[in-house]
Amino acid sequence: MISGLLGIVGLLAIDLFRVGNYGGIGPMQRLALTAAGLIVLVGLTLLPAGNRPA
Amino acid sequence: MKRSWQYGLAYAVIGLAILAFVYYFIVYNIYAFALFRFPFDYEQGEGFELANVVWYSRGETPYRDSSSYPFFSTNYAPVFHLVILPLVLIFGPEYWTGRLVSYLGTLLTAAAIGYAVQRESQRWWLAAISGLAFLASNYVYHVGPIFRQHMFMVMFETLAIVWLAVTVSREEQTGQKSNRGWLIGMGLLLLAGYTKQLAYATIAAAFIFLFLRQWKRAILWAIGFILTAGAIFLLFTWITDGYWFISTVASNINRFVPGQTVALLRQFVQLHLIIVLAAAAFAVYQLYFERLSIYAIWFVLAALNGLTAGKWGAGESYYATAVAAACLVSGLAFHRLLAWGEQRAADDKPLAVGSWGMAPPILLAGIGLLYLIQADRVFHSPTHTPFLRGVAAALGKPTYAEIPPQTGCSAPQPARPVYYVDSAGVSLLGIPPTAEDAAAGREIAARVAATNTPSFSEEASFNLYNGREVITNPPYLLNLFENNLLDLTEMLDALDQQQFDTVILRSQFYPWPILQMIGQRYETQELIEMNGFVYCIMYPTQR
Repeated sequence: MISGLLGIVGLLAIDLFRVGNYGGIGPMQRLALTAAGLIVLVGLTLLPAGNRPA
Repeated sequence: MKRSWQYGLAYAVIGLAILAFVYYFIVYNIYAFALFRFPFDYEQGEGFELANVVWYSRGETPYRDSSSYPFFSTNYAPVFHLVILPLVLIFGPEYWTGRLVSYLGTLLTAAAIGYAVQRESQRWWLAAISGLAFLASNYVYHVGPIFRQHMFMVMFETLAIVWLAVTVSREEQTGQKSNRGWLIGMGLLLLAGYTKQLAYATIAAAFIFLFLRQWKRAILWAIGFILTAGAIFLLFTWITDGYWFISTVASNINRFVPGQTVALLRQFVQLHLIIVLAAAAFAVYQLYFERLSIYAIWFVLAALNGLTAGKWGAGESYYATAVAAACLVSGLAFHRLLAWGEQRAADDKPLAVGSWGMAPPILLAGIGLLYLIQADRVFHSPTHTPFLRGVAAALGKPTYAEIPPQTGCSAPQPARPVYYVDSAGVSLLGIPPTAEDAAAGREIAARVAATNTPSFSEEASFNLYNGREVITNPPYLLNLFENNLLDLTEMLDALDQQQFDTVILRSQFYPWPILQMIGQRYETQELIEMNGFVYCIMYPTQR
């Protein structure tokens, strides 16, 4: 879940610090944000597993 | 083996599934052996891979300045070419050398998949089907026996993953660390990465798994791995005056084609639906109910990495690693399902209707049926012999397809029958080359032999066949051109002065200024068809 959240922050930071060549959220960025969102969702569903090793 | 009509029926279905995949193996060999005998390019990139080996055989590297004569370089890492080097030193620059090595690599990959499934399941038939299913994939069939390094990378990836799985499993059983086992695993990963850069996803999968199991040790080994890989990279960059970096990194930055990404993903899933669903279900099961295996992590990352098939110049083969992982993980998934059914049956009345005792034969038959459905989905076969045509017809498949010759440099031509059928869609990969194709190749090569210079050719084979220098590497030059890394001055000047007696085009992959100059200084005088492609033989115009 943490890696997904970090991913979302990082992907949004691309625009915040204007690292990319283009303004706005591009198609690849949108795809990556969706993937990061999915990782967060999967992370949330794994919370009940507690400290069980992955 | 348990004796009862229910088990008899179930094993009959399994037998049919084995038969289906053995048939694909026979078809694979028909194609492979036809390619071994064919002395010209079957796929456009083959000759340039062979040219890489020729450079090594001269004691030089192929990572060079493409802006000057012979305008050649390569965007691939060296392991595959160095493995073939001894064969080329003994037999000369023959196409069968690399095709044979790639083909043997696919057999080894299938054997590794089979071994991994057998080790966990102790079911020989499941291991056999899992391995053969890899060779039956349309993608593996198309590129397995051609002179390209991709499947050799998949071989190292599979060997590395299976080796590390076995090593860590033994460590956990005995409580003893095996640094030698890890070292060999890392070596195989390094070889995969230096065969083709695309192996990075498998390397990531291996280290994620090792991190989940022994995180401190994994970090230390990851540092060692990165330092070793980095040192080799710097050494190559230094030896080649920086051209290694330009060739293997900068030139590989290609534009992304969203439509291609979606189409190939859809095709990958449709063709391999059963094994992909089984593998995905097993990965989800492991995520929620037990520990993640290296195989499940590998499958997920390999499938995600397949999305890079949407890059310009990439293609279906980018899913070959995912196919290998899907074959292996689906085999494990089916084994677990069978083991679960057997356990329930053992606790209940054997073979009693309405009890769990019927579960094992029903599951066996069900899995056999699923493999038969999988076999049907990947259907592909040449149909140039009565037997092969008869099999296709008996299975309700078409016995031929109609496609036009590929005319990248000449006027379109009408479709004509091609004796090959493929559920992935008939392209020109997969059709065994014929004696007529070889004769056409010799005819084109004779045009080059009749002149005094190497040909400025879009394929390397016509120069290699005549023992002449391979000039240019068009897709690579196009990559460089699109990344503003190529100075065309010398090449344009040479074409302007008509320094080459012939130009041979097929798909017009050259950067547009080159094509423009060819159009101004050369004219097409002859069209010759080989392997379904029309080649334009061009000579200097009168000035």
